[in-house]
Amino acid sequence: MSKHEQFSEKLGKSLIFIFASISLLILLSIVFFIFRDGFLAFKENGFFHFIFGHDWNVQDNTFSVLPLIVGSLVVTIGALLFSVPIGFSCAVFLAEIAPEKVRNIVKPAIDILVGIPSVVFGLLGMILLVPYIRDHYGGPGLSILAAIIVLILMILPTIIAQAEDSIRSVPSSFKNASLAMGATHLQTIWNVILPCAKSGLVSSVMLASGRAIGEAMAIYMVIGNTFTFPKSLIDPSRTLTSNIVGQIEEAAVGGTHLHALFGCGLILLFIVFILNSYSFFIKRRGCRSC
Amino acid sequence: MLTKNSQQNIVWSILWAITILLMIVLLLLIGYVFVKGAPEMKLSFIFGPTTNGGLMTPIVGTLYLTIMTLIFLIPLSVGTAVYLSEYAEQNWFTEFVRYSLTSLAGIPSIIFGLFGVALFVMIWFKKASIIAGSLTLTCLSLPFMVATTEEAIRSIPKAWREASYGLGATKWYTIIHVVLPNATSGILTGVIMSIGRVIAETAPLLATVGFSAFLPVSPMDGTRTLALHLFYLATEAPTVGGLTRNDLLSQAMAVGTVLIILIILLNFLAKLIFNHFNQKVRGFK
Amino acid sequence: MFKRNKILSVIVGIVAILGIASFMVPSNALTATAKTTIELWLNKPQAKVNGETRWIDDTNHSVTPISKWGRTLLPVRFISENFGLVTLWDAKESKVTVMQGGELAGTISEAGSTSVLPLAEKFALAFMKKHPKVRISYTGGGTGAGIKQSAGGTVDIGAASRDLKISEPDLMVHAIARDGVAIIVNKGIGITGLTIDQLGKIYAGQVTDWKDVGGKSGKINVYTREEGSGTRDTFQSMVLDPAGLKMSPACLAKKSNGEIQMSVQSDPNGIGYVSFGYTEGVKGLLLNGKEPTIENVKNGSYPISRRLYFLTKHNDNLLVQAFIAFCRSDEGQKIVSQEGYIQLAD
Repeated sequence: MSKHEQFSEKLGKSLIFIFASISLLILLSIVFFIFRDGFLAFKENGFFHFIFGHDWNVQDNTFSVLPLIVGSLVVTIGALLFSVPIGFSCAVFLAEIAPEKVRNIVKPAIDILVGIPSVVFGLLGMILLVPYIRDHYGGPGLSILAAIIVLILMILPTIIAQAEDSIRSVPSSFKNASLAMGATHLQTIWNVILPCAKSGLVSSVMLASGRAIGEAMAIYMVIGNTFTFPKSLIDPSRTLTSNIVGQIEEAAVGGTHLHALFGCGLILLFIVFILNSYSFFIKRRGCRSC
Repeated sequence: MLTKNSQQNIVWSILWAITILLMIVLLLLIGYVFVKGAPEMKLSFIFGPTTNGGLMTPIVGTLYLTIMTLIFLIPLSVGTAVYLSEYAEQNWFTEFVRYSLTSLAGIPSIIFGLFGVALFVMIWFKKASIIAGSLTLTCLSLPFMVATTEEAIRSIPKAWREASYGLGATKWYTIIHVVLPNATSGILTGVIMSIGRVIAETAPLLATVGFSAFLPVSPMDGTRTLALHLFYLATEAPTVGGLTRNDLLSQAMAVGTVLIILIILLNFLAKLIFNHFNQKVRGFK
Repeated sequence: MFKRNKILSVIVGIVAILGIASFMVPSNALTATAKTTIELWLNKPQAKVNGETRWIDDTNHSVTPISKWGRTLLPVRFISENFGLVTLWDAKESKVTVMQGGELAGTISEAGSTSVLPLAEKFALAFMKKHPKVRISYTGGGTGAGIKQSAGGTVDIGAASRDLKISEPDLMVHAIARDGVAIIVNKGIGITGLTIDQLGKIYAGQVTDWKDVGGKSGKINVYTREEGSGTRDTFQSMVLDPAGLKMSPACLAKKSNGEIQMSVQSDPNGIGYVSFGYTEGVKGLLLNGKEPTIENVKNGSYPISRRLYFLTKHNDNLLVQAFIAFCRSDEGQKIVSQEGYIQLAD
């Protein structure tokens, strides 16, 4: 090795090492900031009051988030209730039934839909959905129903794309064996393919629910942002994310207000973490049984 | 009692119907955006100054922000990926880095917005600016970009590296001349998808990139991206000046049209590069 | 709160700068003649500019021309600004600079309230057109960010849509416009006015049906601004605080004037509060019997109004002072009324 080579070898290695360290530093600082400021929110407002109270007042400096948690969960679960069955049906259709031609059109379309900015969906919800709900079901139109429908449309492409991948990744020998034993295609799908693709399907749902609970802009535009518990589908409410969207600019000066928003972020993170762990757990089990 | 076949036929037709219905609904929605936006799609609107209602600042701002983000993102993510795949030993530390990267990939983007406010806007640059926004987006895209790059590097056959070592090349030489050139297409695909995120994200930029309608010059200036501008048009109303609420909404639709077209183009580009990459690898095998 | 500087200077200085050849001194009035005529009277706080009467300083009515050492001393800012000149005051050196515009160059950065944004943009555009070497940037972020960033020196000018609170940093406050807050409802609602008391009860959630305030029966959909908004603070302090009420959590919160206008326009049971500029397509309610008009704000009978401010640090630079002087000049105030706000001097 010449001196020059030795030098560039060392330089290269240290460069790579520096970049990797910066990345790690970024990761750590994100975690550090969210936890530090988030914990401050719990400390300043009292742990139980912050989670279980329902007042949010910047002037009085009191913050608590129960309506937000309820809002986030209701909207996410509502969206999943509809988008999971629809999404799985489409995925089965695309992977197993659809002729190649149909698939070649639908699949790229879905890939594009995954990437469409959420503000576009929010705008459509604002213009088409909100007036419709107000005129036909009453209330201000801005409602959890509007948020749920917008979310369904937003997360469906994600579910379909992921679920289709996992269905297609089931080895064709499984399918052929089942068909050879006289089972119909439908029975094969139901009894062999879907159970085998289970871990992939579950992680598609988890991915979608992560996207649903973390979605901010589209929900902000249609949910109405009252600080109340929704009593019916046409009631407005507020989610953890829409709360942050609404107040992040005015809170961007620090202090208890910003801490409270970080508190919302921390709770959001905690929910996402539970979802991820569950999906991780299912994946492990899926590996063993299949 | 239905026969198995007719049962299957019923299920099949239901699946056909659901998929077709869904596609129709989604296409109608996209079509609605296009139809509503089309009358506004004039050159004077797209390239007009934003202080007169044009799209010049959002377009320049999106470009500026994209380029700044890539300047930070590419070296960081490629460096990290090379470290993880070529240098790092398999120990708890490497696992920890990898684990934190995967968990970060699932964090809602609005949380990155909070982080950007707390670190970049409040501590580093003291104001919302392009540089604060692009650093926020860098953090947002980093986990995904590292994963894509690492995957591209790992898919390079081990034999190629060994051949390089066998010819007496150093590790660094091998990385620069064998590993990275062959991972280029994979890295490019990741870059294009990151660009897609920069274009589509709004939440992390709300309080980090400023809201300026003026053309940005220095990285400390504020600007707005197309998606942010859409949000502004959809939620703000004209004071006076002859524009009505509906004018602004159709302008918002026009911005939506531009965004959707951009996303389609990026998707197309990603696919081209992906195919190119696949062919190359297959050719060598 | 106002720290605008009153500078008395010898008229001879001004005349020298302007190159005005002669001036007459009638018995007790002093008139300078040129394209612009300004008439001032000793010990009188009002002057005439081209025949129009106006306050020498609209925020301090005790500023008058005075006589000292056998000389007549005039407020230099009033004189020079009406002649289209820029007057700068450097507090550190106690120095007055009077400049004829045209050679200004440099950059000004502004940040703050998104409600001030449209107006600030128009100011900046007009100023940059006049002085092509000047570049002005504006970033949003809200009133709080504007205060913090101008106090910290990150930006030259902070924009605020409300008064500063006692707890906030001590800054130079320059009013740039006045603004009324209109109470708007959907055009289909059969009522024409509310009292402040009724309005407070609606926003506190104590009155929830239109029939309780004289309309036809229907649940009121109350729209408000998000926490931290300057307009919300104004509304809170002028409507709710005097009655000891708190804003109900069931109000639908919006980020901007425009969003509230749009919601109320399409919601048959909606009520909201917005800047005067945002009343197109909706009905502005009479408040305590007073119509939400610019005249009623001017004569003080309309109850909810506020000022919009530019904030600077004490040691502000000359370019920034020139810009703020422009905003407050006749030319700048013309932009104010074009944008639907209310001029300061009125």
